[in-house]
Amino acid sequence: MNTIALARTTLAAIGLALATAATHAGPVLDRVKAAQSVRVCIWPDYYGVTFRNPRTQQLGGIDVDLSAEFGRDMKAKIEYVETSFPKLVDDLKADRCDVAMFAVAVLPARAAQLAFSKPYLQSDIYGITTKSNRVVREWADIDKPGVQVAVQAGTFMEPVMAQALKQATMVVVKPPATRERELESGRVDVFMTDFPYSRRLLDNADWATLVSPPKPFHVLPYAYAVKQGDDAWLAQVDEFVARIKRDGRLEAAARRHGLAPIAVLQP
Amino acid sequence: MTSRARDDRSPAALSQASRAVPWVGVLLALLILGAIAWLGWAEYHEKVETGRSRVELLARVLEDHATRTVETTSIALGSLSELLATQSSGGVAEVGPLLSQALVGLPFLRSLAVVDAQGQVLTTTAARDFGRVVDVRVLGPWPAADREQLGGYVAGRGLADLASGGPAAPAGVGFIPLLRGIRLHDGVLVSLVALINPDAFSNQQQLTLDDALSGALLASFDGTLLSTTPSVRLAPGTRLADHPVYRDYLPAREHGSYVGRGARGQAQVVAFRVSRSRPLVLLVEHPLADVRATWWAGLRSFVALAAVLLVFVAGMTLTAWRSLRSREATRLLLDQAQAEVALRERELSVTIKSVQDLIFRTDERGAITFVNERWMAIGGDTAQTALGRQLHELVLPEQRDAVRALFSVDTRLAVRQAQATVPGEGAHRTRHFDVAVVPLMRKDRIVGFAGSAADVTDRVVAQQKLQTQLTISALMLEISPLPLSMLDTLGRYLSVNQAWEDFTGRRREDVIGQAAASYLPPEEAAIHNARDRELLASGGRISYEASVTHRDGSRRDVVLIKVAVPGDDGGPSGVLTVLMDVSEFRAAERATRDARDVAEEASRAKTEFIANISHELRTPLQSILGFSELGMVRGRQHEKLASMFTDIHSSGQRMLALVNDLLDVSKIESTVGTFHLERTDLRTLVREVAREIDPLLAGRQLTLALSELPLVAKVDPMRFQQVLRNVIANAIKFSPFHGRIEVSGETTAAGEIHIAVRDQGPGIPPEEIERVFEAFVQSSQTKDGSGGTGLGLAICRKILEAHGGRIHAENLAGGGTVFHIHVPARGSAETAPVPL
Repeated sequence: MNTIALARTTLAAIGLALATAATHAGPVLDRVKAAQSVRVCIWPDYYGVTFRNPRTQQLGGIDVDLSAEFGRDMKAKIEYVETSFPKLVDDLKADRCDVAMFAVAVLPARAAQLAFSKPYLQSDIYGITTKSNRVVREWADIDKPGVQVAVQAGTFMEPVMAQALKQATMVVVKPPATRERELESGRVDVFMTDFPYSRRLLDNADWATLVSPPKPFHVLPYAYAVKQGDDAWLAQVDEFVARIKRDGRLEAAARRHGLAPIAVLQP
Repeated sequence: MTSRARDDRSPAALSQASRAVPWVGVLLALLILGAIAWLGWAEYHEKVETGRSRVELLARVLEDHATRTVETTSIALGSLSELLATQSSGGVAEVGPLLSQALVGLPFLRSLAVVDAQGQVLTTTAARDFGRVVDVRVLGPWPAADREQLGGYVAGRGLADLASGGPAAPAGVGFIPLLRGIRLHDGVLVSLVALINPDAFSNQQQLTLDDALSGALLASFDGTLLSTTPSVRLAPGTRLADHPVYRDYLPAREHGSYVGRGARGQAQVVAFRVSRSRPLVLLVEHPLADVRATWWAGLRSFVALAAVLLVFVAGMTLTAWRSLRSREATRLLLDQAQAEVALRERELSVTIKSVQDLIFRTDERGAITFVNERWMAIGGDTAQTALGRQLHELVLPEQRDAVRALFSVDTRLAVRQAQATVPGEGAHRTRHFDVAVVPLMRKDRIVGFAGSAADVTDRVVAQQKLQTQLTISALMLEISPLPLSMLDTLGRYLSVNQAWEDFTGRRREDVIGQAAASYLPPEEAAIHNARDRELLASGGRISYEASVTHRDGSRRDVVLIKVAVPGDDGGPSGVLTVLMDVSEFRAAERATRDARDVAEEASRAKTEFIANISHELRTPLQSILGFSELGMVRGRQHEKLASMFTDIHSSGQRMLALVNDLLDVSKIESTVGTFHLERTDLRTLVREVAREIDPLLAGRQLTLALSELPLVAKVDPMRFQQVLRNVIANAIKFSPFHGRIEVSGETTAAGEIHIAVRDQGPGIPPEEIERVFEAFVQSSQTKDGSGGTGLGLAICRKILEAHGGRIHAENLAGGGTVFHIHVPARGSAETAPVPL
């Protein structure tokens, strides 16, 4: 009798929980549908992804295009909310934005806090140094004693390099300091970055040079991040990702911004 | 004249040109090489100059940047020092944030720090360095207050690395310290130290150089290397005292450029510039090899072009030379060929002019477009008048269609032929032509005709004449009274004439085409056929007799004269036979022969009779003579008796002589008399006769003029002497008293022996000069009773004729007679031809 009663209670509780769950479509989706707008978190300094051109103050990049597509698909207006990698998790949790669309690397630490869509880009880590640098000329020169290796705080390079570097010293660069200034001054000998940033170098900044790993070093997938707990919303985002892979919008946008090599076109 | 002069000149001119061409080619090649060499030399110098200009420019720019960097640092240090000057030693740390803030605007600064004279780091932007004690001597001379001092190259990342036991920085990491002395508020002299990142210089330099081969060096004024671009393999801190810039130029020259040894080895293009405000020297080096490479790269295309041009020039020269040479040769050949062509043309035109035939060309309708000069000979008017006329207008009406057909465009006959007759007008006689016309084709269409008209008038006329001749001949054959027949080689009659028809009684229609054997009896036909075959085989002409049946059935003797008629191929084509009816002739012949036989018989009978009579007469004569002689002798005493017996004796002797002569004549005429011919020298005989006759001369003179050489002839000596005796006796008889008789003998050129007996007698009357040699004829001169029988000369002639000689008489111009005796001479060793 006890077991039966216990079972019954458990069932009832589950059923209640389910019913409760069922009544909610998801708070984010509801809000989006209600307001007919999506707030998209971006990092405006992300070259090729979501980058505010310092000369024109215009936003441009693959995720600017794709977020616009997302808005069209959802029939909603896109509002951009500026954030950065360190503040990303907090911003999403605090509902300051509905989705983060700026090529967020799927780190275990982040995955624990956020829900990620299927990846649509993937990138390895690259080193950037000055053209005349005497210390670091190739990948093997990085992990040497005395070498100062900079990583941007909050980016996926931070934990990865922290693990990878055995002899060199990792320096975490926090704003207002910039990796470029640290490099210019010689306080660091090299800083680590990802593919999109390396594009910026190769396109515009001729004062620096790229140090590529001879073989893939630490390829990470990039995906859109949403708050945990809203599966319907996540499903929407995932469907969007699947759609843009299928109908070629992802490929087109990637090619437009020089990111075709890192686009993940398989579903 | 001009053409000849040109011919004379051009080969020479051409050969001059062909000789000049190689030189021109060499000259051009040399020009090209020269141009390239000059270009190369000019380009090299220009490139070197450009290189120097460039490195100079780069040196200026990089010096400016370096100086500005230091100046900026200096300005920042200046403003910071103002701030710091208000602080005391203890409060220096509060300036820390200011330093950090200043650092933000000075990205090339590694860190800023305030260090006291003991090396204590009072404050710094680099967390590591905080609180360290450094060996300040490494930073360079300590500056006084408000004075700046630029240090040399210090290895290490920051001040911490100067502290003993500090972490080592990797090789290649260093800084350039800029110190500014600050007297703090409490009078402590500290230095504000700015650590300049040398890599900022070298990165900027690298970007500015933008060239992996060029190198820039930033060094202190006293020769310590501070920073370099990666292409300079010298480590910062190296001493550069040996560098030509320091050795040769500084401190006197503060900027310049040269080509020579640099920090990276020989053959560099080096420019240097001393900072306008700081003890810094900036050097830019560029390998001369690169300049050379650039020069060569630039020149390469020109060299390639020049090579192409050279090849082209060489090719052109060769081609020109060869073509000129070949033009020479060709020109010569051409001249020769032209001369030959001109010659041939002349020959041809002469030939054409001489062509007897008319040559013409017409258009496709047959209107004449060209005629040669023969037209004039034919038509009398010039060739111009012929143009446009149609050939068929000129010929006889009955030939017009045939002539029109010559120019038919419907047929594709290659050669059309026709006969044409052009009637003559006035002085021009009617002409006949064999016209041949050939169509001229162009693309399978007839565009005209070319033809020739051979004047065959003569031939036609000749043919007509021949025809006439033949008709006349046929007529002649026909009217000939002798039967004529013509047979072919197989013995068939081809033609017979009227006389033949009359003779044989057969009509020509019946026999023509038939063999002779068809109507003759076989044995007769065989004879004639045999003869015909013989004639055909041997050719020429034969005649034979045969007996043929006349139409009236009688057999006639005929002589057939057959002649082989020559055919076209040289052999006989037939036999022409003429029959001559000789029956009457033969009958006459037979009658004559019979008569002759009778006459001969009669003559023979006569001769025998005479012989008999003579013989009979001689017998009684002998007794008459004998008895008369006796009577003469016995009647010597009786004159009358003696004279009577003498008369009887002389009469008897005369009768005896006459009988002897008659006997001689008959002997001579009959075959009873024989001659014994011997080879004899006639001179002997003449002399003997002369001796013999001598008593009878009676006052006349006989001279002999005989040849020196023997007069050898085959004679019967006795008979010949008889002749001589007779002739000389005649001469004696007719010579006057005291006359001279001359006997000469010689051999004539004709191979005869000629004996002449001359007398001075009365001569023989001209009408009797031959008759005296007839029997019983005496000359009328002797009618007065000189005696003689009249047979002597006849006997002489007979005898000489039997010897093959002759005798005749001649009256001499001055009176007298000469008797010529001719006898064939027989050489001593001659063989006389004898009929078989």
